[in-house]
Amino acid sequence: MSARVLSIGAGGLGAPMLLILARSLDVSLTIVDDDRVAESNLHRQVLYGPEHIGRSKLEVARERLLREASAHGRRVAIETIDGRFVPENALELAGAHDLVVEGADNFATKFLAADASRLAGTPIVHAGVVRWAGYALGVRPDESACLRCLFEDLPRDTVETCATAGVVGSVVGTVGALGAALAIRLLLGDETAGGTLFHHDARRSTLRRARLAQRVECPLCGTKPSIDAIDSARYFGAAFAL
Amino acid sequence: MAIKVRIPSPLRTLTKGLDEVDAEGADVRTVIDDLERNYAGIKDRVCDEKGVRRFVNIFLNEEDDIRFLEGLDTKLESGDTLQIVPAIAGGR
Repeated sequence: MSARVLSIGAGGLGAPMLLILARSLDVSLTIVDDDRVAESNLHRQVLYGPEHIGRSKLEVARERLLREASAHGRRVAIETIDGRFVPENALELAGAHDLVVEGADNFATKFLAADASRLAGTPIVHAGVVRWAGYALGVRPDESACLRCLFEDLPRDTVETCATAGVVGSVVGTVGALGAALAIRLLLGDETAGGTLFHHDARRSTLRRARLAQRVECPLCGTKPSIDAIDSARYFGAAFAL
Repeated sequence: MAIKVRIPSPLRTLTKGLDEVDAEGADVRTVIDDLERNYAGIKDRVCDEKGVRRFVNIFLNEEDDIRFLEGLDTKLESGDTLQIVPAIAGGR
């Protein structure tokens, strides 16, 4: 049976990760997204072109990925979910897959994905970008540091996103490719694929990595975790502040 | 101690666009105080009353998260590099 991968989003980061996975593996992809292709997306969202403006990203992504997979001799199945990754479906979705990849544009979804994946025992790749920089982090549940070991909780301040601050297209491609490599390593069972933070700064053309340790007091994977279920209230404070 | 501090994009408005600045200090706390003297407002973006903000990380010489060392009291040597890494949400 081919690996089952859940992609939260088919935008700037989701697009390159999905494209690489579909070309590289026999894989069953589930894509969650509710957006339509806009002209402002095109410089960074490599699955889409001007002819797709106004169409559902899910529809276009499905067509393109199946075409790419076929051209590369890969057997790829694609399920699409027209909606968002939310507390009501997070645990079920994370538990139904062998790997989660997320390139969400808000902290609420990133932390929700981290929590649901940990509770479901599913590895996850986190990726984020803004302006000239971005990061990728692979997590093996219970075996490596998680997003909450790195950043303890959702920022309550206003933070920059691609929509508010912009992003350089090459950063999305680079970080998306890093995320895809981590995804493949995690699917192959590479025990070293979790717990290293990769940080890319395009203005300096640098890629730095830092090995993360699990925090004893981490609320998700520490010795006395306080997060043992998905409580939607935990994500709301920041979800709408972005 | 002369310390290099790498500044992330969101904080470069406070450092006149510089992505790396020099600072003086024997530990992380005094380096941040020195940064604040030269780039007003940066301390509040990195620290709160409890220490380093929860959604900011500081790495020493690219490898070590100062939380796993001695936090703000982590001792530094001349030539060390601190990298400030904030949480990044963008992706769509």
